[in-house]
Amino acid sequence: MSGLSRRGWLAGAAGLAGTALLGCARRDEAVSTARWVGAGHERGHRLRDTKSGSLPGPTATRRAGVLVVGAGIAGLAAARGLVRAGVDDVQLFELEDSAGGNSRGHTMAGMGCPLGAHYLPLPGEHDTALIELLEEFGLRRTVMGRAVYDERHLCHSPQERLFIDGTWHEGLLPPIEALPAGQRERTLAQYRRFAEAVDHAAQGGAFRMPTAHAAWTPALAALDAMPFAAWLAREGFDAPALRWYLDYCCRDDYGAGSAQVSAWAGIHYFASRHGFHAPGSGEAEREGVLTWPEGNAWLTGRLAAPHRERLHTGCVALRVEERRDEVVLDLWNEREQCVERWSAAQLVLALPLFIALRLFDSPPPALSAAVSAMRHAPWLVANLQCDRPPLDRGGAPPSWDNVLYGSAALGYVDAMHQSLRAHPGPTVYSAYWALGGDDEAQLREARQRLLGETAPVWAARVLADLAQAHPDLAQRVTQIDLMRYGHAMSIPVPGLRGHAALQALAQGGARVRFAHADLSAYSVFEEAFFHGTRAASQTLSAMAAARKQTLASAMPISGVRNQ
Amino acid sequence: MADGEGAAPAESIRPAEVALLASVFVVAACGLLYELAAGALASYLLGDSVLQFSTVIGTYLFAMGVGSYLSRFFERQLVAHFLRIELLVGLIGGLLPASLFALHSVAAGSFRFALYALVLVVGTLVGLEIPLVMRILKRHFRHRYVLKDLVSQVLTFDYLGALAVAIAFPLLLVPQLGLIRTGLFFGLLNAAVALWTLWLFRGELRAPRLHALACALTVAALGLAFAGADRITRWAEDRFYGDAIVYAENSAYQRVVVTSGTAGVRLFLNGNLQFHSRDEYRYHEALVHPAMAAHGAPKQVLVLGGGDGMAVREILKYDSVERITLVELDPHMTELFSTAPMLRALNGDALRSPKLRVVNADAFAWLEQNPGHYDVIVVDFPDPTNFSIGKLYTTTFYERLDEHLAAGGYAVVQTTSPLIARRSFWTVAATIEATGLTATAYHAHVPSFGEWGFIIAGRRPWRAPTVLPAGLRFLRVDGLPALFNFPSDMARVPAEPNRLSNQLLVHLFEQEWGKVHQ
Repeated sequence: MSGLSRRGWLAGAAGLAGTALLGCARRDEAVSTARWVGAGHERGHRLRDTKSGSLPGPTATRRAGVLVVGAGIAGLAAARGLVRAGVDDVQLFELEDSAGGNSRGHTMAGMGCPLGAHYLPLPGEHDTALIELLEEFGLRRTVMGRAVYDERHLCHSPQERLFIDGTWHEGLLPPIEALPAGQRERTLAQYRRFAEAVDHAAQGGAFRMPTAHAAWTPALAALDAMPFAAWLAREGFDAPALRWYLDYCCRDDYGAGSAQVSAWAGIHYFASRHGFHAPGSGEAEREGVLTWPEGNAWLTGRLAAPHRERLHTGCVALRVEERRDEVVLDLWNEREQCVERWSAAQLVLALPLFIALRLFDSPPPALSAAVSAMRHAPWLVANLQCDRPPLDRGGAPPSWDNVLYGSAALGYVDAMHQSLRAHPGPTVYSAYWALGGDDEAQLREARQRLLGETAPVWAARVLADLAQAHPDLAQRVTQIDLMRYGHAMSIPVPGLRGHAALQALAQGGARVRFAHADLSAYSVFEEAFFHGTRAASQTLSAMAAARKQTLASAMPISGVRNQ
Repeated sequence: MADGEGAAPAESIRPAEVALLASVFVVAACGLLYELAAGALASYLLGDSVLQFSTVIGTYLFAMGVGSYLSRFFERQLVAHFLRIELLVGLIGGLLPASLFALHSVAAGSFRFALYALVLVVGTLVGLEIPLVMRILKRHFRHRYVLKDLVSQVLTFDYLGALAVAIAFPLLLVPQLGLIRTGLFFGLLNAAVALWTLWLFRGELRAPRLHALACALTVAALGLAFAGADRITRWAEDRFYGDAIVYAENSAYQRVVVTSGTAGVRLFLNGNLQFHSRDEYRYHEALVHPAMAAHGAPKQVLVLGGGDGMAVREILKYDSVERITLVELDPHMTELFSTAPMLRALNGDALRSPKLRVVNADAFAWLEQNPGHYDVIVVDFPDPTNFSIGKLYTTTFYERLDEHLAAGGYAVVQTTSPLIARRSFWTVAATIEATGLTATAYHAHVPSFGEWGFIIAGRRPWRAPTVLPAGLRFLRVDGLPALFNFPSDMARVPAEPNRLSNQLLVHLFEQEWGKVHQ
């Protein structure tokens, strides 16, 4: 009895002393001065307040060719599509103080770090629109028919590691040798069987990114109808290590656990990209991803660059009205502290559907139906500025993505991993935490905590989580900036991806089009970019049709004949 | 836990009890200290502090478990056993840092073995201590203690002692006393507990004089070592480097040590030999001249790494050179080699040449930010021992070099040993070729390093020069072809290019040099 507790104590005390010796103690200043970044949810909630008529009416009406509401990736892609086709008169409105939505970045002590999405998997050859974008940005070239990516922007090696059983292991799939002896054989067998299941499901390109590039088959609809966890149980996948890993993947990509997302989404994660590789299958080398210190904000910056004059930040859309010959947008201009009215021939709503719903006096039925089927996951991104890299437990070397087995959070990425310096130095750890949970009740509770609790409380939670792997992290951290999202992304809950309302919304109306990753039931760059580009070409077609009509009515004779 | 059994026996505690509980405090403090000292010493000498700490702590805890198991076999003469264990812990634990330090300098190969052996021994002895104390207390104060109170009493002092050391060790002991003296000081504390026990139980112990003698000898040994700790340190470091240290300092990036002895001057960075004045001319002539002389009339020259100025000294042998830019990360290095007279004599005052511009910057970032073309670029980086340095050996880096080469220019890269790390060497060649440059490999024998390799990269095929500068000690025009001829055991092997996204070279390098170090 005494032996055990004494040993535990000695181990703890030694850790403490070793840490202090090597790290020179610093107080918890970083935690107490932790702060939220971003515009804050108050601005977004202004939309709710307008219903009570508390805001003054618009003074004058301004006109434009096309209005794009929301300057996240979908909005930026829509604006890009329009401007490239020669439509200059585009106005882009954004609630936050900068463009990017979930792909925004931040700077700490001169080091870029992400506030949200932080990488882009290399696109499949069928995604020509995205490939064109990457070539435009100089990220990709075609040399003798082969795709060549700029190595500086591909994720540098080593990419991923998992902290399990007190040490780091290469890759994120829990290695068999780190598991209790009794579980090894069963787990390995299930790893292999799951790999086969993914391969089988992926046959014939059934899963693609963007998802619209794959046909929606009855087989997919059947998967979409049930929760991933239920499907896994049905198929006999019960090894804890496999289940933890799959749950981690769901939380990482969809913001909620395997009990909440559909089996279609759970399999899509693997089957649409790099597959699932069981240990020893010989194809462990995962496909590359593009990444930058500031995450996908690198892409945002380049997408937003051509729209300097067209982009209006700090603008909260209040109301949209589709009329016979125009569409009218009322918005709150935070900087001017006034309500503005814009009128245009066409409008693209590139914002989450549940916000779009609030803009209409009488919303389209498909929009109401879609929103009632959706859930949005809350997220936390904590950027921890470190004066130098924290101490590392043994095993695999520091990597880009570092995940802790069994943790409720998602680990962290090292923002300076992509730097080219020859000596490790100051850096920023971007810790991610998806708070969607396993059901709607957990989700609501997590959202309340995220919005109700202070930044220091969350900072301390993040530090405590990562301290398992880096005992001196608290001493290394000099500043903590937290970004919270009450509704970061749509969770692909069962039945959502195949919901008829999403297909109907993607068709759009006469003057208003929807462009958001929500239309794919989940949020990634590829889907947002696809829907933005799609909305742009729909808008262009509608404008061409309108022009033809105008031309026809301007020339009565031919007009009569054509009719 | 909280079943409230037995009231606290607060009143009239006897001196013997106080003494024993105080000794629990000391014993616990010492127990933790040896563990910390072993961990700290291992990380100081072997690097990778977290790994060292965690393996030492793991071994120590295991040994303590063994000790506490063994304690059940001690049945009689508990006090005498305790006394002897204290003396042994004091002696072995106290001398642990000093002996390991000395051993590392004499026989570095057996250091790990000795470290873990000593940690096992000390851990086992420390594991014996507390169970024995507990039983002594129980036996002698049976009438006063319920077992639970006894356990909690002992553990309280045990924890307090460990906590005191945990706090004092990094903040007070190591900065004030140094590791060696700290160990010895705590050895003396253990010996003091033994003395105290001897005095307390003088009536019950058999052969008290022999025990007293053992105490006296232990105290004397530890005391002597304590007095001579500085001499032990200096002796050990001198033995490790083999020569007297003339300069030793930690810069922001590395530990820089310069030694001087009858055979000459040597530079160590993080304990790795960088040059030996006896044969560095072989290395630097081989590094610089094949590319410089083949160029014909190099005017603008860039040196990446090489803050010791030796490569610059060779470059200055060409009158055509107008300007040399030296990009060295560590300002400490360029400062040292442009001020210390002994080192200035070695590089011929090259770092003070009016043709030279010194930039203290990270080479990769500097290349990205500074346009400019050079006739010759000399790349003298450390070997790719980790993923950070490994970035300087990738296709992306060689693409940057290519961008900075003037028409007809050459870059030359120091490329580890093609004999010891054959696949690593040819991986660098394959990496250079993957960027479209021609790679021309050669090698030279540098006794301090062994067979060493270099690669010339350029758009213009390399042709052997017909003239070399006057005054070279190693290279001759007619001897050059031999450098470019690779015998069978170093001949080219197929290799994949090293990329930022795979960092193959670091893995290979570790494998190949790891075999040598085993």
